[in-house]
Amino acid sequence: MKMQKSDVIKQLVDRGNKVYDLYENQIALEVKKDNLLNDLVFLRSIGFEHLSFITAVDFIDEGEFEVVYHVWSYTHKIHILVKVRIDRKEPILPTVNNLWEQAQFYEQEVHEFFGIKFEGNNDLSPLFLENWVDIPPLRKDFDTREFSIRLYDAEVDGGDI
Amino acid sequence: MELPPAMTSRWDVERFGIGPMATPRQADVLLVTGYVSLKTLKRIIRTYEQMPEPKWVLAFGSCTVNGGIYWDSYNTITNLAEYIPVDITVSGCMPRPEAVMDALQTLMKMIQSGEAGAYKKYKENYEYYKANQDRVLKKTVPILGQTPEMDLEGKNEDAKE
Repeated sequence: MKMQKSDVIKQLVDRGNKVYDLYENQIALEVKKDNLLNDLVFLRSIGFEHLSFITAVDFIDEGEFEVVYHVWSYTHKIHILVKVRIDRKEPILPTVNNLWEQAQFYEQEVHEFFGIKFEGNNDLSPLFLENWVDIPPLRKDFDTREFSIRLYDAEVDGGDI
Repeated sequence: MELPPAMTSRWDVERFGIGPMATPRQADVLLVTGYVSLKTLKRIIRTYEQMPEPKWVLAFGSCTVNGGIYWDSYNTITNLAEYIPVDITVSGCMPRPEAVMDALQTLMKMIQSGEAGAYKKYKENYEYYKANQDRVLKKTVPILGQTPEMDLEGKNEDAKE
């Protein structure tokens, strides 16, 4: 049965989560690392059966990564961003690929570009980069400009300066 | 993107005796269109070396000349001529089909006058090209000097080949 957005928000608030009402059909949910699997299982059980994407944000000044799980419900037509903050020095999260099979590729990608490890996922091999030996390239402390100048002899602004 | 209109009825390069080939082994000219990532570079080198002599290379668009708008990316090479010999370049982002036809006809003139023979340069200076190719494709030490904390097991398999 279709639930209204306000009902979904109420259920999530009752579970002690912080909820942000973003758009007509989108809400954001902040969860703690220890509760992540619990909350995702709960969302799945109330009809959020589709995981669209997993992505990460590097908050380098706060020393944290924010991993965002996008889940969608075909019944409620609501898109939830499940956000979890983890320590940058110990970037480990439990895998969700036994909840959603497609998480396999998203986790591989997040691991490749941010170096976040997903415990329980046995195949975190790189998908896109070949022979990568530096720190993961989408971390904020990775200087792509300097990297390009050193490795590819890139000229700043095409050599115009 | 410019090649389909160049090949089909509106610009019709076939009237100048220019046509697409199915495999590198039947081709005379290699057109490298757009930015070149490391993965692409590997395949470009393989394709180029498969082509029978005499052979020519047309670098197509700003990206192959100096990286274009992607010059400071972690995975885009900035100067194709460092890795394979380039006979003629077409600038533009993207070039018009007229520019492609013009470049190919200029190339024909250069071939007749003996100016275009970069494939000989490849054989003579093979060490230079090979060293550049290996530097980016088989790197073993981090370019920025930062070592990744995460384990990189299995990430360097390609380098050992």
